[in-house]
Amino acid sequence: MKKETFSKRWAELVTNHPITFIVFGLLLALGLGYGGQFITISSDYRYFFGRDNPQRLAFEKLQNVYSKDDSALFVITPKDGNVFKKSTLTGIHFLTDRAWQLPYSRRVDSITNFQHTFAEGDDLIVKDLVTVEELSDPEDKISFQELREIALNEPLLNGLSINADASVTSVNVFMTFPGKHSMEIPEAVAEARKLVSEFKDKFPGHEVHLSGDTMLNNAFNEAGVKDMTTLTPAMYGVIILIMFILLRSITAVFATFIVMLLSIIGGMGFAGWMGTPITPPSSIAPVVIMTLAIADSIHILKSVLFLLQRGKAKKDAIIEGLRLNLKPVFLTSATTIVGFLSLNFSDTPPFHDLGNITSVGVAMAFILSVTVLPAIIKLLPLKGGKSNKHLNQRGSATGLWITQRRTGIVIVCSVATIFIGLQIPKIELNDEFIGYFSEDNPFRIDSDYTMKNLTGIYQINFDLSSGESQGIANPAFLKKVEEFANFLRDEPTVTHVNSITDVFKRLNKNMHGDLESYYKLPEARDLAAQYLLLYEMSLPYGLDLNNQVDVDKSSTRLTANLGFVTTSEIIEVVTRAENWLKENCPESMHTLASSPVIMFSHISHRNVVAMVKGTLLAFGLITIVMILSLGSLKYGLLSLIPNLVPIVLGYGAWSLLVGEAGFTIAIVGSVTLGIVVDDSVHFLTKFNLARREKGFGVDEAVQYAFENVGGALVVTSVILVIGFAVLMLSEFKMNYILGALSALTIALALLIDFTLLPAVLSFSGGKRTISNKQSNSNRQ
Amino acid sequence: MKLFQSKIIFALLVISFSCTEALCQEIVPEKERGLWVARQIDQEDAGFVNQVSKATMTLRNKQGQESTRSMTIKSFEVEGDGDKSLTIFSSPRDVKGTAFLSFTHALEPDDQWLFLPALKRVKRISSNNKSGPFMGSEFAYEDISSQEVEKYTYQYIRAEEVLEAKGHVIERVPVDPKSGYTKQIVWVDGETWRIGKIEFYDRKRSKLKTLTFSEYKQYSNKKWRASRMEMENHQTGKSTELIWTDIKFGLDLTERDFDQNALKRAR
Repeated sequence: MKKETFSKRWAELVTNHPITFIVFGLLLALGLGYGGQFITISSDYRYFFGRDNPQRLAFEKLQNVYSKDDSALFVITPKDGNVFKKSTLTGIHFLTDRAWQLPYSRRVDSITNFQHTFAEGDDLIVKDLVTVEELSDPEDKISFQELREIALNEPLLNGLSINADASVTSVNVFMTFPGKHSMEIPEAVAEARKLVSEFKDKFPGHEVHLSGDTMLNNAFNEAGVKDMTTLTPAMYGVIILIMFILLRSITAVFATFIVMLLSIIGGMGFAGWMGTPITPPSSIAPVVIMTLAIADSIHILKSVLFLLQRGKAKKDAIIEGLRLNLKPVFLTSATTIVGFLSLNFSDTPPFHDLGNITSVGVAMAFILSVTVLPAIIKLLPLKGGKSNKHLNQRGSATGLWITQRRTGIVIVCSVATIFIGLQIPKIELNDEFIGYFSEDNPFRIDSDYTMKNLTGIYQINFDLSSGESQGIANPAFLKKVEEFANFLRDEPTVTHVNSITDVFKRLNKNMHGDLESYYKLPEARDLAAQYLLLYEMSLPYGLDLNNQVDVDKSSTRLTANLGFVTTSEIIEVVTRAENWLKENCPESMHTLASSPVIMFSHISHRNVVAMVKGTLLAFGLITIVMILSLGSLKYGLLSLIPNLVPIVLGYGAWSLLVGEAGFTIAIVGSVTLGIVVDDSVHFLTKFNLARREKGFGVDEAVQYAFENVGGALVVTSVILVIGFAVLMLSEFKMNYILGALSALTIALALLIDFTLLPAVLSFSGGKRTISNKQSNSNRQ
Repeated sequence: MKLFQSKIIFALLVISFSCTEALCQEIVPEKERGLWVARQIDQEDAGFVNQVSKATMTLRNKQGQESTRSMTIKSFEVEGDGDKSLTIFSSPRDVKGTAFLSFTHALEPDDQWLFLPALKRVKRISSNNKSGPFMGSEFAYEDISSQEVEKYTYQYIRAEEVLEAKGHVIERVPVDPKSGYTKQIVWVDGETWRIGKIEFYDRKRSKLKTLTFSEYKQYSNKKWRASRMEMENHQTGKSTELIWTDIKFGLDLTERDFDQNALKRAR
C-alpha cells in the first residue's frame, strides 16, 4: 500500500515538473554517453577467453617458448593451374619480398624463399628455392620441372605451401602484434589487402584469397562493426514502424523513441567509461537494449492511452498510468538486469560486456520511462486512439476458455515439456570458428577455399620436450617425434604435419652427398646436433628455427593442420594424439595440444558449465524477488512454471529443429530468463491485484489479468520477438543463434503465459468456484 | 665516385688528427659528420693486431627459460680488408669442438667455414646468412662480425651524452641489400669512441632490437672493450646476453692460425 502511495506521489511530481525531469534525463544519459568517445573495438580472438582459461594459458606458454605470431595467409591460384612457371613464381617472389614490409610481419614463408638445402661437392648449400636473379635470367636456365619436383617432394611444403597437383600455393606471413592498440590488426589487414590488389595488377591471371589467424581476428572485428552499423539502424526502422501500428500516436512513438535512444547512449557510454571493447557479442547490445527499453514504455503508454479512451483527463491518465505500472516496470527491469548480470558467470569476457552494457541500458530505460517519458507526453499533445475494447473482451474470453480446459492444458503442456526437454542433451555443440561466419562472409569464403584447395587452417601444436638440455638431437627422442608425426599423418582429418625430424632427415641426406638412402634420422647425437648447428648458421634473416626449437634446444614444436572438422572431431583427434604420446613416449613428451582452435573447442563446454551456475543463481534471485513482490510464497513459487518451461521448450525445440549450436547457446537461458519473467510478473501482479483488492476468485482473477495485460503482453512479446529476430540478420553465427533461440523462447513464453500459467493458477484456487464472467469484464 | 669518397675520407682523417672533438664538430660539414663519427670509431679500434677472449652467451625467451653457450673467439686484424676470426665452441656438449672461421669483407659477402668434429669435415657456409641468427641467439652475424666503415652509409643525428661523456648519435644504413636491417641508430661517446648502444630497425622499418654495451674496461694497449653486451628483441620478447672474459691482446698469432687447417686443429 505504501508503495502505491509512493507511486502516486512520484507520478504527480513528474507530471508537475516535466521540464525538470526531461533535463535530468538528458543530463544523465549524456553524462554516461560522454564515455562513448572512449569506445574501442577489440580484434583479438583471445579476448573470447578469460585470462585464466586453461587452454589459453597453455597456448600462451607455447607462444612464449617458441614464438607468438598470427598468420596472414595469402593463397595464390594461377588461372592456368600451374604454379611452376616464370610469371607465377616471379609474382610469388614479389609478394614474399613485399610481405616483409607489411606492418608487424616477422617472418614470411613461401615456395620461393623456402630454404632449399643440397650437397655440392663437400659443401652444404642452403639457398632460396628460386631467386629473383634466376627468374629474371634472360637465358632461362632454370628448370621449372625440377623446382616442382623439389617442392612436391618436400614434406615441409607439400600439403602446406603447395597442393599435390601444384596448382595452388601460399605466402604465409607471420605477424607479431604488440597488442598496444586496437587498430593494429585492421591496419595490417588493410595493408595486406592493398598488397593483394597491387599483386593482381602486376601479375594478372592470378586469384588471391586471404586467410589465417590475423584474418580471423579481423573478421571478428568486422563482424562486430558490421552488426553495430547494420543491425542497429534496421532495428530502429522496424521498431518505429511497429510502434506506429500499435500506438497510433506520434507523441507516444516520439517519447518511446527518446527513451530508447537515451538508454542506448547511456549503455554504450558506460562501455566507453569502463574501457569495454566492442566485440561481436557486445556489438548487439544496442539492439538488445532497444528491444528491452521499448517494453517499459509500451506498458506505461498503453495504460495511459487506455485511460484516455475511457475519458480521463490527460494529466490524471498519466498519473494513473504511471501509478499502475511503476511497480511492475520496476520489477521487470530488475529481473531483466539480474538475468543479464548473470552473464558475468560466463567464461567468455565479451558476454560479461554484453550483460553489463545491457544491464546499464535497461536500468536507464527504467529511469527514463518513469521520468522523461511521462514528462514528454505531458508536454506534447496526446489523444487516446480508437478503443480496443474488442481486444479486451477477447482476452477475457480466452481466459475463460483456458480455465475451463485447465486439466487438458496442464497434461498436454507437461507431456510436451518433458518430451521436448529430453531433446536438449542432443544439441551438438560446434565451435569450428570458420563456421561462426555466414557463407557470404569474405573470411569464410577465403578460408573454405583454402581448406578445399590447399591445406587445413585449423592448427594444433604439441610442445614435445626431450627432458634434457640440447636433447632435441638425441636420436631416441627424434625417433619418437617422427613416429608421432607419422601417427598424426595417418589421421584422416590431418592435412599436414610440420616436424623438425623432416629437417634432420634432409640434412642427413645432404651431408651424405644427397644419397637417397640417407634420407633418415641421423644415428649419433653429436652428429645430429652439429648438422643442426650448420643448418642454423646458414639460414637467413627471419627464417630461423626459433619458432620450432626452444632456446635450450631441449624441446620442439610439432604442428599439425586439420581440414574441415567439427569441434567433436577436433577433440577426438587431440585426445587420441595425447593418449598416443602417453602410451608410446617417455614422460617428458606427455603434453597437451594447444592452439586457437583447441581454445574454441572447449569454449562451449566451459560456458555451458559456467552458465548453468549463473542461470540457476539468477533463477533463485528472481524467484525470491517474485515471492517478495507478490507477497505470496505460493504464487512466487508458481511463477517458476512460466519462467522455466519456455526456456526448456526453447532449447528442446532448437535441438529438434536445428540440432547444432555454438557457445552462445550457453547464455540464451540467462538472457531470456529476465525477459520471460516480465510476462509472468505482469500477469501475476494483475492476478494478485484482482485477488487482493477486488476479492475475485482464481478464475475471475485470471480473466481480469487477461483483460488488463493480455493485450500489452502480446504487443511487447511481438516487439521482443522481432527485436531478437533482427539479430538473425547478423553475419556472425553466434549472434544469429542468440537471436533465433531467444525469439523462439520469448514466443513460447507468451504461449505458456496464456495457457499453462492460467490453467495452473486456476488449479491453485482449489475447488472450482462458479464465476460470473459478465460481471467482471467491465471492472477496471 | 669511389675516388671522390676516399678523398673526403682522407681529408676527414687529416682533420680528425689535428683538432679537438668540439672543434671538429664545427669543422666537419653536417653532411659528412655521420661518416666522420664512424671513422673515429674505426680509427680508435685500429691497431689491436689480434685478440683472444672467452665469451658466454645466455639466451632467454619470454617464458623465462635460459640456455647458455660458451666459446673462445680469436680475431686477427687485416690491413685493407675485414678482420678474420675463429670461434671455437666449448659448450653445449654436443657441439664441443665445433669451430667457425670467418673472413669479413667490406663489401663482398664474408667467407665462412664450419668444422664439424662429429663428421671430421670442414663445411663452407653459404653467404646469404649474414642476417640470420648466430647460434639461435638474438645476435645476427652482421651484428657481431667486424664493423667495416664501408658497410654502411651514415647520417649524423644529434649530439647527446653517451656513457657519461659527450657523445654522438648517428644513423647508419647497410649497403648490402641482404642485410636484415633498414637502418641502425648508434650511440657513441665522443672521447674514447666507445659504443653505448645500437638500435636495429627491421625491413618494415620498425624497431626490432636494442644492443646495449656496458662494463667497459680499458686494456694495456689502451683499447676499450665492453665486458657485457645485451641484445633485446622488442618484437619477440627474447633476449641474449653476451659476457666477455679473459680478453687478451697481442698474442703470438699469424694468418696461419686463421685458415681451414687451423679450423680442424682448433679444439
